[in-house]
Amino acid sequence: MSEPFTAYRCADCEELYGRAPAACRACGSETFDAAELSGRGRLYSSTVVRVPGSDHQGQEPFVVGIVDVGDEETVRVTARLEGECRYDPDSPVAFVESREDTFVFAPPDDK
Amino acid sequence: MRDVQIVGTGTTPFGVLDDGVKDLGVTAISRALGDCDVSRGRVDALYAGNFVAGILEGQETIGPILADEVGLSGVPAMTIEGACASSGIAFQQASQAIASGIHDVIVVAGVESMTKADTAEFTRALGSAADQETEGRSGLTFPGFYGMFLDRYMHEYGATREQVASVSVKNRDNGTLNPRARFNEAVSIETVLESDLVADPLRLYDCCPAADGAAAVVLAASDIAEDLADRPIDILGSAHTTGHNAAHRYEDLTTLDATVTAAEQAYEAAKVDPDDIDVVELHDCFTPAEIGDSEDLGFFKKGEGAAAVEAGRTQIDGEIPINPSGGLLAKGHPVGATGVGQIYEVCRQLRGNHENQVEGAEIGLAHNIGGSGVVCTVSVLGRGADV
Repeated sequence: MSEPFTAYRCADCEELYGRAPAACRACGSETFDAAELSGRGRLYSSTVVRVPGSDHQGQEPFVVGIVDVGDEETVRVTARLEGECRYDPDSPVAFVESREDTFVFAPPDDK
Repeated sequence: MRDVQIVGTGTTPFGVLDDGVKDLGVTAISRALGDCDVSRGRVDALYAGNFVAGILEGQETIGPILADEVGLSGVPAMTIEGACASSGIAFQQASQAIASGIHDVIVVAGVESMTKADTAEFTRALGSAADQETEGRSGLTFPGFYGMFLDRYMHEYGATREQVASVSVKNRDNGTLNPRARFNEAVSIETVLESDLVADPLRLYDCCPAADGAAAVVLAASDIAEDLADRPIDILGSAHTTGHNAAHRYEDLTTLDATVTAAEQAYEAAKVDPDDIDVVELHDCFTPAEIGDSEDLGFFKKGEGAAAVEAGRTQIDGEIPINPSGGLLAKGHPVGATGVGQIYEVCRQLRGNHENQVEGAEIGLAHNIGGSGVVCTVSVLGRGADV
């Protein structure tokens, strides 16, 4: 199981976003509707950040990855991944929560 | 449109230097003006590339400040910022302004001072080129961006860590003979693969070092260039493009679209193919970047770049010599200075007086990219005729 993931759909052209932008890059609309996706995702790629910038000092090491979240319809987001382990590309992951405005995912078994 | 040529070049060494951005810039510009027969009065404009002086030194307005400091007060001058491609953009903009007839002679500089800041501080400053709302908040760094790039690249194409590490071995080897390089010591594959992890699977020796430095060139319309220099270098084509502003915006993270389109445009303007290029200085900020760039620029098919490096095809005596200067990995990466620094190295090759001379080099290419591949320049230069 995973928490559902709230994406944003352009009310005019249906372009899907992980975060609501100020305006749709496809059509310029400024209106977006919340679109609930399954929180199941697939990891495209990831890294373990061991030398962070001064604004994230003390959190290292931490894992950042690119996740395709959703089932039939997916949206790609940059996210934190729980734990300090190496994840393989294409690993299944599950949405946990938005923490300090960053999406957090974990292996599905951990849920 | 008029043809444009490079009539003068100048640089500081890249490394750990005492001077701040102003003095570094003045040194490079004075050397470039001294390299050609251009009096201060003939210069129409000054474009300066810089990225992080505002954050690290509290110094902005670098273009206008340099203009007064080098005796050019009065000319239009500006700073151009596009992350690690800042001075590549300044070069392309200057070339375009002369080609279109707005100016006849422009001084282009790139300048940066980084090493007085500690690693966490300059990592944060460089991170300002990422979209703060997505990648910035996640804590992703630029080594992290290329760590994810390499993670996916090895997965898709079966490249080995040894192959990727051979980029660092080659470039550090080239750097041993370049007096402008921060690092002059060779490294082994084992040294690279045993160095500390920075952003898995990237290790310390996969990463270019920070550096201080400046480089400058003087550009002129070709109809007056012959009066200004004995051996002007032709700007055959120069392109400036943009790409995606975050890693998750890429469908294929191993292909930086801004490089592909800039290369296509520059080749078309220069009326050349990748096969015609004799020497390349490309943006090897990290070892996987050189492999991806070498494919995106059209020298190798997608997925074949890593094996090509290991096989020696990009060495100085290889079929397509890449980064004979030592590249960013050996020279160091004074971010805002790197683009013009690459142009400087290519000019030395085309003038036939480089320390790592590529035999008979007639056409060279310089590739400069910034941020998450969000901005890029590619310039194709030609040896030109003796005047």
